Amino acid sequence: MAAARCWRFVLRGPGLSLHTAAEAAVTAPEVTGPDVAAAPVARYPPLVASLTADSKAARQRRVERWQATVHAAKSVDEKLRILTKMQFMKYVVYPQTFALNADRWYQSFTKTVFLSGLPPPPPAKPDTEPAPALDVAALRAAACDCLLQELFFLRRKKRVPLYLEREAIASPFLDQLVASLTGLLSARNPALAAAALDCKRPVHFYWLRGEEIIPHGHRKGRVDALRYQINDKPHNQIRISKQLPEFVPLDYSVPVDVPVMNCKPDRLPLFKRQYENTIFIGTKTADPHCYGHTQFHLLPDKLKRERLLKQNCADQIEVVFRANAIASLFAWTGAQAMYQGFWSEADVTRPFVSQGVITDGKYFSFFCYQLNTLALTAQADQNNPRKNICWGTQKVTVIWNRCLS
Amino acid sequence: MARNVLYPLYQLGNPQLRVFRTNFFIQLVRPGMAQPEDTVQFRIPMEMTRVDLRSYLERIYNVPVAAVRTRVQHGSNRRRDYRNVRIKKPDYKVAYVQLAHAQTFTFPDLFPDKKRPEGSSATVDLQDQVLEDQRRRQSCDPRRGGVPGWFGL
Repeated sequence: MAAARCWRFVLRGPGLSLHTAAEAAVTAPEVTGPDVAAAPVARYPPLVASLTADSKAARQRRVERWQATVHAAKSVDEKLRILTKMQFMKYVVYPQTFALNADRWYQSFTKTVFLSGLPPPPPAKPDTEPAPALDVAALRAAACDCLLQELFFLRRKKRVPLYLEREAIASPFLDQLVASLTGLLSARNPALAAAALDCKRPVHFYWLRGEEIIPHGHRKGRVDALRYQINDKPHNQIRISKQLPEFVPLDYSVPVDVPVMNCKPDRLPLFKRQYENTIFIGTKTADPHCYGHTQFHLLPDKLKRERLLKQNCADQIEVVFRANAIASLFAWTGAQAMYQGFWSEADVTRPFVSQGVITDGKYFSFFCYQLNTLALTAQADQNNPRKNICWGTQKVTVIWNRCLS
Repeated sequence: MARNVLYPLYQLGNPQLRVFRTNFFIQLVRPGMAQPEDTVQFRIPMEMTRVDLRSYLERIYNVPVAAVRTRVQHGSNRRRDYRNVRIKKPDYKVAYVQLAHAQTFTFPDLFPDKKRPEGSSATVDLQDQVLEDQRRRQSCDPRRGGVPGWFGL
């Protein structure tokens, strides 16, 4: 009876909707005499923006409610599900692309700075013993064996067409090389002995960066985030259970700027598609080997040197390697970070580090990537001084002549 | 290679077809949407392919081309005249050419604002004077504060 009287009193008030009335009835203090003065209970419900109005404040409140559900998610799988379940049109980024100047574009998409050369070596620890000398002769002999097997000894029944010629020899060679070198080097590095080696496992990453005004359609004129997806398939990758140590501190300020492009990504050319948003490092979240060590990529025949030279793209040969490294390693390190529960509103607290080797069968380039920030959305990037860093070497010819002699 | 011309049929062993005086004519246009610095936009005949455009620019104009992308723009067929007969704007092909060797190109400003020097021509001065006189004659009472004349309060 008391509750009913309370309801009628509250509803008679002007301009109160059912929702606020219900809240008021629930929070209306039970009058119990002298206890009222002791506990300072709020007399009115908190003033918040509407949930359903067509206003910026209402949209902000809905976005914050969604972000609160992600923060409150109990497991990483649930968190990833909430982040990726809504599908919208997104740009599909291909790491191995024929587009010109793709490395500068990919740097702007992933907030990466490219530094040539390898990262600074770690400071030598004085207490540990110096590591045993590297047996270069044994490694060279193993590499020569793999190469000779593919180029000379193995007789193939099927004649491979011309546009797959190089890949058909380089692909099994790379597989054998990675397996044999991992085995030989695991004596020096016990983490490699317990590592997981994947061959052609998919790696996926989905992220938001920047905003645009929608040009056509029923949502014309409204601000919309730009979404990107990488679906990569590295030729080989090594995963370990302990994270690699960082190259530089998390808040290391690089003097180089991230390149800013003054036109839309469509000009790259980059195309939009709507399909499943996936974040995947090569295995599911329950795997203990959830940190990355090295990825190996083989460039397809479509991007080989002779073809690029015929198209007047001599300066794009390096660009192809760099773009592949930046995109693939960003996707892998980003996915590793998301597997640990970090996302754009909960930025990484430790840097995620991975290495990559990109080859086109003859030339090898070595890259190192350090992920310092996942906060790439427009809201999270407002006061974010951190940048991701990619170190890379020029392409190096493996000395075929000496191996074959 | 040429438009509105029947290409001879190719049979195995024939020499490569060469056209020395081509029938194609292309137009360099200002891009409507912002393009990267190395991209040049052309309107080309519908029968021309990207391979044709590459050899056209390289052989005739000595412009090194890195990449060519083409698309066909549909001309509107929606407008109707006084008899409700549809008016078709012709379709055309647009080509985006990316220059090689890190060259850049910006479409020049074809109609810049001319800065009028002190000793200018008499006609221009007269025109300006007449316009000024007209404006002064029609100027409203400053005490009304910009309120239009028909407002009677």
